[in-house]
Amino acid sequence: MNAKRLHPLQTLVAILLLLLALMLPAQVLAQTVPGSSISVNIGELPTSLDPPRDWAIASTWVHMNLFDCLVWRDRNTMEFVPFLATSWENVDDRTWRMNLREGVTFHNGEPFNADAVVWTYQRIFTASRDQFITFNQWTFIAEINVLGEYEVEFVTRDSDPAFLSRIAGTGCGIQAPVAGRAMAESGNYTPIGTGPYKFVSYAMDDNLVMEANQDWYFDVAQVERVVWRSIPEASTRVASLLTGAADLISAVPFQDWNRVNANAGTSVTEYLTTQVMLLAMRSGANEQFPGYAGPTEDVRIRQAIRHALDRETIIAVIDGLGVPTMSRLTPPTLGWSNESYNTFGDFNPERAAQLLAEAGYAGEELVFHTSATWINQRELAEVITAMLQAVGLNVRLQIMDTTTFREQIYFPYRNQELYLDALGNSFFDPWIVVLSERSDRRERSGWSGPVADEVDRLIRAAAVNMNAAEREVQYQEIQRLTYDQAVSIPLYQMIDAVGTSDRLAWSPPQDGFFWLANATLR
Amino acid sequence: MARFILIRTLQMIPPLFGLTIVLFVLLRLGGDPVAHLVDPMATADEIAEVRAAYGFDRPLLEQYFTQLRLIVTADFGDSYRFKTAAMPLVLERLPATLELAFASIVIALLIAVPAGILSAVYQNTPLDFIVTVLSTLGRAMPNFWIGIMLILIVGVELRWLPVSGRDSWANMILPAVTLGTGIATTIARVLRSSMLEVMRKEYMVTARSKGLSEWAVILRHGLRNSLVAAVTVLGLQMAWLLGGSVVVEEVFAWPGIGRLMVRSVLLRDLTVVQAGVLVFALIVMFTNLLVDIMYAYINPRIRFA
Repeated sequence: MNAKRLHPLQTLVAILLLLLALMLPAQVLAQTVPGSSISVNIGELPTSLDPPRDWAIASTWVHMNLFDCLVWRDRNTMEFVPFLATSWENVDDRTWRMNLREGVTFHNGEPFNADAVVWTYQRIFTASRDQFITFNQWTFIAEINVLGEYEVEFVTRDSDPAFLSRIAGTGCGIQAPVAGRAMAESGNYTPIGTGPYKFVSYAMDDNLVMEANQDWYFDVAQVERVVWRSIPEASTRVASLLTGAADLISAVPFQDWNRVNANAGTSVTEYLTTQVMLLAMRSGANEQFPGYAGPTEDVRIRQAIRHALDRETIIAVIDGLGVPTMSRLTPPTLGWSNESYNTFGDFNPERAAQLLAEAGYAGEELVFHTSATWINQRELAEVITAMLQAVGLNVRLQIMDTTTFREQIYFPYRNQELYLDALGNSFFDPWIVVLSERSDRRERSGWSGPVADEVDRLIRAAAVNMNAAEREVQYQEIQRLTYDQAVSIPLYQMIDAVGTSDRLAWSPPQDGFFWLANATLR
Repeated sequence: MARFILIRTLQMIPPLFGLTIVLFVLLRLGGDPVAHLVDPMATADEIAEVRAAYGFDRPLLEQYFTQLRLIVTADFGDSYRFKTAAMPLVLERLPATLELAFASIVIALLIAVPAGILSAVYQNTPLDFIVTVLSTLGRAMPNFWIGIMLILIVGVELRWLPVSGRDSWANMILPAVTLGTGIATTIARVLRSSMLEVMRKEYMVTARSKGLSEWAVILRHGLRNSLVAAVTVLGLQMAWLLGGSVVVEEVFAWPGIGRLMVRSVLLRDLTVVQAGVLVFALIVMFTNLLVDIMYAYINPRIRFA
């Protein structure tokens, strides 16, 4: 066969064209596919499209596609990356200076500038707690100074090593200031950000439509239209995927995995959530429980409980949907360690019985509260109860629905000896993980004593320590001390799963958040 | 007639007033809304601050009268969850709920009327037995289970109909069948009993003696005279239908009031629950009024005092 040879001139033109293509800005190459659309079915849609007013995880998924933040975490590495701020500088311990991206416009055509940054955050931290559920999260800002149209300076109340985590955290989306001020006057809110998708319509509790922002400053989204739907019933959500009515669904129950994978054109993908299931204990009295004098006041009994927990069995009970851990600090959060992560821990029933004998335990009752919020939580609580009973503890398990647990136990701080709950850390910074053991926030543990004082000192020191290496050691020490004292016992990092149709090329990022700017259709 | 409607409408006011008291007491005793309005890390002081901002720290009687004043002015206050007016949130979902209720009634009648007639006409035959067994089964099976079975069989296996949402008329069929079958069973049984009673009346013999065909006698004379009982039951079923819609709307992701109520009850969004329950109560009351009016048209011997 004779291969046709290219004329040298043709070769030269081809090379030049290739070079030209490589030199083109990314946004010219990336194009939205006209008419393309995906349907994303999740349990619940936001109650508010204003990011600082609703911090439910699923709401954050919607917000993050409409709004951009100054700094963002790469969804795969969780490293900080420039978004609306192109660079930043930590001028001193309390001052952060940021250069803003020029030439960016909001979805309504307003230019993005320093005024937008001031408007977005000032309206939160100068408001009141009942107005914004994320209010607490933004009170770290003392002032924002405008240094130029595209340069701002944040002054924090204290030295704040977690500044970048916070500024990239829930509710960080920058909002259009001119429209925002007008909407604040009228009371009618429409989400106007600079994000990869712009808002089209929202039928509350039903569906939310967004379409690709053709002026986005990174690669424009390839999927033109994303339709989010709220389907609270898990079996209906799965059915919507199986019938082709959805391209992406959240929280696929374990019992449906095989069915979804066996169905032509759909599959399940697991991911690690930021949630850690833990068994928390009351160590002493406090304002809400002034007369408390239960068995878990004795550290030996708390340690016995820790030794009675067999994480290997626990992981089996939850169908393998967890990574065993002895710490709430999980990768890639600063302070996580191989020693305490992905390990079954120190299960030792003989040592547990010995500790109980040393403590003179005589069968006093331990009340164990739990809700059935999370997957297999009811079964888990029953297994834990059996494990504790096996070493001789007298446990009375009280299982309740999520609402009752929250209203009767968690928020009035009426937890007694034990409660089971899962807590997350979408900031990927340790400050929030240890906050509940700071001396002014021990409503649920009532922990006190020299070790508790030392932990309090470390928490406060780490919170303002700008030296990352030292800070890491401090958090590891905090985790070691709280684990040794068995104030709360982390059990496992939770695994969840999404269901996708084969036509959608998208896999969940490290935090499992539905960031769809990079979704494509096959 | 106008006087009758006016009196019946005025008679609705005391029960509605009573309902506001019952609702307030139940919702306040039921749980603490503040637990859902703060972040999980909130301290006792922060919780107290939010409680004060919403007025939950005021005496209960004062809270009730504040709420009552809002209800009387048709305001109802803002949803704690959505931070917008509660009543418009409910009313914008009303068309979806009414649409589903109407479709369910149509389906119920399409099933119940032929089943009830045939069961009565062919009393003590295998057909009667089948209708009776199906009626009993239909009544015994919970709504959500029928719904999930329909999703699995008709939606997933056969792929005939969509399983969720409210995009087109096709989306309505499965939830309407789920709700409609429950009512159909009751109406069919009542209609059967009523037909059996009517078919023994002398005017039925007279109608036959005039030379009318058997089916003409059954439909023109028998059915018409049996309908009073069936319509009464249908009116009473409206409360059941709205109650059932709470579960069915959740299962089929149908964006109606029922679904809004589920989340609002769980998250103690009291203003929305109050607005929703009052709308449901008004629907039931007006349906009963409509049923009373229909009696006169079905049976001209009935007059309004």
